[in-house]
Amino acid sequence: MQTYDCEPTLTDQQIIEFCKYGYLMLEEVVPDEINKRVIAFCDAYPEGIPNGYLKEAWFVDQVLCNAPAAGAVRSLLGRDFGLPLSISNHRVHCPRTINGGWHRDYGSQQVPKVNYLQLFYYPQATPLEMGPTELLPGSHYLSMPSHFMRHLDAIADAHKTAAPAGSIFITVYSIWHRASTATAAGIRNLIKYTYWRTAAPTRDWVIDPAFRLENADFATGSPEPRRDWSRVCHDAARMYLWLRGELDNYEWIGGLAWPATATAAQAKGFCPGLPADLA
Amino acid sequence: MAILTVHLTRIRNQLEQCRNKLVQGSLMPDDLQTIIDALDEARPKVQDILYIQATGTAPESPVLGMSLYTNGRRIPLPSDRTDWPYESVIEAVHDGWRIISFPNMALMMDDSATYGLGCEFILEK
Repeated sequence: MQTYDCEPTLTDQQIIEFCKYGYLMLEEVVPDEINKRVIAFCDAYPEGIPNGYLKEAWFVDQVLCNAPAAGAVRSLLGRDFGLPLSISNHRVHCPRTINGGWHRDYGSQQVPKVNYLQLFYYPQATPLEMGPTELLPGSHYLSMPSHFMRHLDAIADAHKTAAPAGSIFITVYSIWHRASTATAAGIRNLIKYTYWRTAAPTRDWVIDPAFRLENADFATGSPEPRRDWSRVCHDAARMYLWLRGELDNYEWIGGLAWPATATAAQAKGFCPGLPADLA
Repeated sequence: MAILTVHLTRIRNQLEQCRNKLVQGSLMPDDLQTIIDALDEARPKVQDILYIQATGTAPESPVLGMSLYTNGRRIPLPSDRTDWPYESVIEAVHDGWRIISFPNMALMMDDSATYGLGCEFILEK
């Protein structure tokens, strides 16, 4: 497996946001000339698994090792992360109608471990009319197997990843997602690939000196209707601490103790639930 | 005798009556409408199904997700929840839907490991 290393780009709070919602969108990070070249390549090789990309130096340099995307991957997977072993193109002839279709990809496991990341790259502009992938933020903590989701359709607070050409979004592998209905005409390519961890998890990302764990925001911003609010904070904190390599130091004491944000914000020197080793 | 056979026999008898009336010159539009109505009645009744995932086990709970099947087909619903037909299970009940399955508490024995999309009600018409 080919590995790659670069400087990490995410801060603690950005890592926490990824833990909370399960995805990170990077808009217009691939240059337009590369997008056009990728689209031409997709037209020439329209198969679902165009692994010929992996032998193209320009694709490896500009897409797989794209600086903003690779910096985010480096932050989450650590140094010398493994580059994709395979690539798939979800190439769609629009328009098309989607009914249901929610799933987690094969082999999904329960978090908090983040040993690989899934990336999605739109080489062409993908507005709502072109059927962007729809994600359910925070669903990487919902353990429902895909075959129990077959009857689901409209879900509140689902997010359609409409984005300009050259956008890449990174997800926790187990996030719920589906294709969405496309009303416009044309071809939409969606290149999908996976990066791999080779280094043990540790806090090896951009360190903001002002960051304080007791003040970190683990809440999702609005009342979480699907699950107990404090448990949502707990799950995000577990993933974050696993990424730091410090999960063994943490024991959730429940209630409104840390990492429930309201308690932390009012802590003022005493933060119940925050492990002393991590303060 | 199967229900469909009963309907077909009835329609056949009505057609014979219409043929006789046509020969006699007494066929009226209402005679043909009777056959049209009989054909509608003969069509198999298909159950409409509405899945609702709600925030809680109470039928008044707000809706988190929804799937609709009418006449044997899934009907895509809008992404925006404000465009969904109901905001709660009880609203659907007031619109004539009958609850045939309530959230299954047996699946919630371990709330640290078992999570789905809210509490699911299944309704029919």
